[in-house]
Amino acid sequence: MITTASVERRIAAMLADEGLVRAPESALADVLTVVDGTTQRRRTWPSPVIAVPRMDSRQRLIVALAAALLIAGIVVAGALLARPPDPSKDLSSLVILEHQPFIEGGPPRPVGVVAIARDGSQRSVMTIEPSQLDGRYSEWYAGLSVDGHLVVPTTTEGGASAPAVLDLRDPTAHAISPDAEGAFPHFGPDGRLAMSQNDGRVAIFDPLTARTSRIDAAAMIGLAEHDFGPVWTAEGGLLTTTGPAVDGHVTGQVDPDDLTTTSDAHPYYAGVGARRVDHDGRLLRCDPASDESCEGLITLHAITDASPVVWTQSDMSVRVIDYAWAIDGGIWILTETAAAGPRTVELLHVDMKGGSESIATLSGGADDPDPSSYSQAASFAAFSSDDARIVVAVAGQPPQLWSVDPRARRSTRLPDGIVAGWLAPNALSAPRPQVERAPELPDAIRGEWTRDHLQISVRRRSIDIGTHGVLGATTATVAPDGSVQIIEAKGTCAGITGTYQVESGGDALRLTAVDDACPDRIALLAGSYERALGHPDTGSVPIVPGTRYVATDFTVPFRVTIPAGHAAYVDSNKRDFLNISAMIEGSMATVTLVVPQGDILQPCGVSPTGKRTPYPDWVPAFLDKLIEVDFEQVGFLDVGTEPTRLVRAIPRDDTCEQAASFATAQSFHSIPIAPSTPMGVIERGGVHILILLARKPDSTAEVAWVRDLLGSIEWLQ
Amino acid sequence: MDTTLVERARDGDRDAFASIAAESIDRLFATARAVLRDADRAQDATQEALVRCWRDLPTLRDPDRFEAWLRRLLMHAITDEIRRGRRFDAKVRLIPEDDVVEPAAAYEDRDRLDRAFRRLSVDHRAVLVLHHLQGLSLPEVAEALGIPLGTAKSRLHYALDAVRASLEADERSPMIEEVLA
Repeated sequence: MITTASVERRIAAMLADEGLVRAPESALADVLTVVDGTTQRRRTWPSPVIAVPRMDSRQRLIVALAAALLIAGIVVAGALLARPPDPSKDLSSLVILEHQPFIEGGPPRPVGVVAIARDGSQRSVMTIEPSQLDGRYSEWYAGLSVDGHLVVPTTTEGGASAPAVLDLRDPTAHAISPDAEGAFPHFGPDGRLAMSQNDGRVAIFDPLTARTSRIDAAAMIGLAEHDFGPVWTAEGGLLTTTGPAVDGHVTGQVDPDDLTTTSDAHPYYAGVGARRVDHDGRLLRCDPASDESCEGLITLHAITDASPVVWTQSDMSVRVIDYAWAIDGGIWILTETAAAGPRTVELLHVDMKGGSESIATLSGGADDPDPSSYSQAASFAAFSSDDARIVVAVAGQPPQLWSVDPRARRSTRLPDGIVAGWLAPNALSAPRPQVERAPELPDAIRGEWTRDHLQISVRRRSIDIGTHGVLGATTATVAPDGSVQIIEAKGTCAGITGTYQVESGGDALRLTAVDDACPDRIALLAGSYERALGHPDTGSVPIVPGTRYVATDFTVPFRVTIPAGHAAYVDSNKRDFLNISAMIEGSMATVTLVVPQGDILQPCGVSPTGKRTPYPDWVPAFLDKLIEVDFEQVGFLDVGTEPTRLVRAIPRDDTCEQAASFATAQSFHSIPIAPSTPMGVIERGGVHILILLARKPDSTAEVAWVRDLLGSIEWLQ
Repeated sequence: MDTTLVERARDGDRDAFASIAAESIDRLFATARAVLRDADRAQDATQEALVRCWRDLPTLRDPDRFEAWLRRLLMHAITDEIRRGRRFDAKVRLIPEDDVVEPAAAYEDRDRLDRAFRRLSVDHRAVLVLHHLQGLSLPEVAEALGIPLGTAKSRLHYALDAVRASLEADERSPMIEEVLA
């Protein structure tokens, strides 16, 4: 029996030893080098009062007059700028997707979409039937365009999340999907949808033409780090940032159709995320030196060159949990009480002088009882454009939605669900441009393809080529005649449209130039491609059973044939992690190929061949040996019956003594890559690292699938 | 920490800051390494904390609060370092057969403790490290982490409980010989 007191003593002893560790010799010099190139911030608190010589009566009169004029000016300007919201200004209805209780294993169910008018009356605007979606509706986010397109998230069998766009004007039509995974989708003022991709690009989807394009706006990452997606401006551009991500201040916008021009930013107040950016492009966030959790003593900063503090939270009995710019130049802040038990949520309005006013209080549930986790009691869900209706989501099962009227100080409970956005009175009747929807490419050729290290993704209506060699920020869309129109925003072919024909035959795909005035692009693109194992943006993506794939991006390239008979999926980070899985008889078999990070080190430099052994030499050999492994022997991880040894993964900074002690620790050690995922390291015959997992390996069908998959691997180095 | 040095550094004196950094860096590094369990990442977090310290020092109103403020910067840097971390972290050494030595019981015990410690969340590790390595009282731990005192207490309690449960589970786990039998 181990007591908590004895654990505390042992931990104290361990940490006391570790407290004697010294920083590496170069560390101080490195810090001072960086500091030499770093400018200090300006003070954010007042300097001490400077003694001023006593003034005579004339000087006092002048100062008094100047002060009076200044005050009068401030009053007039304040009256002009801080006018109360006009209650008749925004007549939009709030659109909510009604809450769907999740039932494990249950069939998907219809989702009601309701519109709530300013007077509180409700009407149904559509019901999303499961048959309208390619995946399963996922209660995560929703968005609404000014002309009635509704975006909802769906999940597929492999776990990938894809947005689906429905049309409130045609509520029974099947959803259309962007040719991109993506997060934080936001509709812009022209009805196009922008979302952040995991690779740092921004995907732009036009629901009218069904075309998807992508822009390489690396600076957008600065916004994504603040948990909101691309921010549209009133002019239809996208806000971007400059400078380091931590302090990134919003300075301009990019044109989604022309990345070469930037102009001043005038944010479009659609969605809560954009409310973190004001008309002057100032980003509102917590203390820049702090994390995003806004715990404890926080300050809110308006990020500009000067980064002024606009609000300081000093009361430790409450926590700031959400904040947004108000249209009058002030700030809306949500707080929760920090004490244990049910929490009180308060909506505050803060003016730029630091004065705060309580607008509403709501009852929130207690925090998660698990002391290692925390869930905030509430967050902003939506603001009407005139700030007359502020929608707050209070955490709970399900979350409660409340509409707060700041003028009347009245809070009204709304139906449970997800807020999609605001529907203007003429949103469904205003004319839309009559445009032709892009045709679809054949199902048989969709997926990842590669030739000469150029990898392309054939999507439903576009080909994602990305940036390769002479190509820069490529957009490739399908023309009505089935040909593919390719244009670059950068590089030697910038601005030149090329037309290509796509043909498939067997396991190959052929791109042929029909009309292209850029010979560099023809040389790069035209030719025959083979199927590639990709590295999807989110989750796993389906791969075709019975098909041979090549993984050219993996550190050690290989070909593999996916065993027939079971739906299969791939997930990869491109270079050193590749996960192939299959759904077999209701469970999942998974083979993971991992190249360990860093070099393989011999402990304490005792290796006869030197201190470090780079891994590429041994990876093919160990994977060859892997194929010999009998997978039916062991529960967690097969190690066979031969003298195969499991070694544990040892952190690189362990001491020699600790490392040596592990040499005889012949016990199984698992390393979590995901919760409940068994994973191990096998040493076999002298070279050899293997990290592989197979859930339920006692299943005969799973074992056969794993063995077939591994047996088909052909190493290309 | 000498408040005169802090005030001089706050006013832009790089030599004064160099003295502060030299005095603090080992302690910061040891703390970061104990939480992160990785020397390289600890060095990155330490550097980040000190650079932020220099950059934001003019915003520090009370030089007497410097130590607590610097600890807070370090914890933020550690959190950022964790956030930047990969989804898994498998750094592997091969242990040559001829390097086998008799395992010392003390090492085995420390190994088990280390593994249990690594299984804790960074929040829980931080409370243990600040309390037991830096010797801070729980109110000081709460301040360094920017959390209420009650939260600090509950994290400490949970962390010790979790380590204890982890050690007990480790003792019950089968040895490889048993698995292969």
